[in-house]
Amino acid sequence: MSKVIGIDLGTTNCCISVLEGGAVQIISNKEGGRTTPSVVGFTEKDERLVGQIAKRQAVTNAANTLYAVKRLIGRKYDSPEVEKMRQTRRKTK
Amino acid sequence: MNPNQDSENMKEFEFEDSLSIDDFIKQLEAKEKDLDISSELVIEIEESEFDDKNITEFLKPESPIENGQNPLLVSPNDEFLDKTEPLKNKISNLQDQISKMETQRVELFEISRRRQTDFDDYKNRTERERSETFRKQLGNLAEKMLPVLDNLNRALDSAAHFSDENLQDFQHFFDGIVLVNQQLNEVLTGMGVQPIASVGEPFDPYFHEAVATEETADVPPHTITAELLRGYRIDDKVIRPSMVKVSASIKSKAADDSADTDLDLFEVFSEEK
Repeated sequence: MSKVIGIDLGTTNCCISVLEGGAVQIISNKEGGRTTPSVVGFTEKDERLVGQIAKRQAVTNAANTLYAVKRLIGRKYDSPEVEKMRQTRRKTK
Repeated sequence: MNPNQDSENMKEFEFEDSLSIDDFIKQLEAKEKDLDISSELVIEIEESEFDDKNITEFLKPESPIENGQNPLLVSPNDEFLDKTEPLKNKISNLQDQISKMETQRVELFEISRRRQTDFDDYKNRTERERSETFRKQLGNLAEKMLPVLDNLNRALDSAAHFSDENLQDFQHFFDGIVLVNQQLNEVLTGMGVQPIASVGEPFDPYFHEAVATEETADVPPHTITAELLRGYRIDDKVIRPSMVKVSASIKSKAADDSADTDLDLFEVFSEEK
């Protein structure tokens, strides 16, 4: 039987829940957290880090750590918001 | 068997048979005399209408089915069609019912298979959750005790700044606190809680949380130079990551400094969703 899940794609955190027996149950992530930070990091070894792990290394790898990309979803490449983010990324490199 | 004996028996049979025929003829001649039957007598038989419907059962011709003939090859008549039509309808209805029941059977089998799969998943998940619940509760309990342990360690560290005179005054009290700290560490170790090694180790975001970077040539980049808050784990599950300072090269340090000022990372992370 197919299941119904709900995804809260937040600017800062994401959360996924499943409808089970008429009740909503939040799915925990690998670390056991009910919410996952909306952060993605790319290391020098081309390893992709997601969530809490990516957030922990953001200070040491700020140039390759993306956060709050929800603000850019659906926007055009030459929109002011995307341009501001690009300028910010250039400063970190 | 003796052939001579057989021939004698046959002669005896012919002899008895010839006697019985003679007697029969004599009896007939005697009856003819009583009935006055002569050669001039003419016998007339009156013909009657023959009714097929009233014929007796044993005189009726045998049916084609009893003779083993295929009834379909027999020439159809209205009576035969009247009898077969309801049977055909009944067969058609039964075939429809069979097809419906087969469809229902397939649907029920599919539902049963899905239920079984769901139940197996539920069972496996329940078993997994049951085994994880204990560790999770243990981790929650240890996590709440960790600030107490941190403060106790800070208190012991601050004792190093005491002068010898002050330390002598509180020596017994200090020894008692050390023993309490040791006892608490033993309790946590008994629960499976172990501190995470940090200083001198390469930075690993799975166990450490970088809160600052430090320019240094003494150690390679991405090496932990200082531990600001000790982290703990139960087996491979991190209860609390170590908050550490990480070494960085001059170039990357400059980039990280600009990132700290331009990106306002912690400002974003502290926002409510």
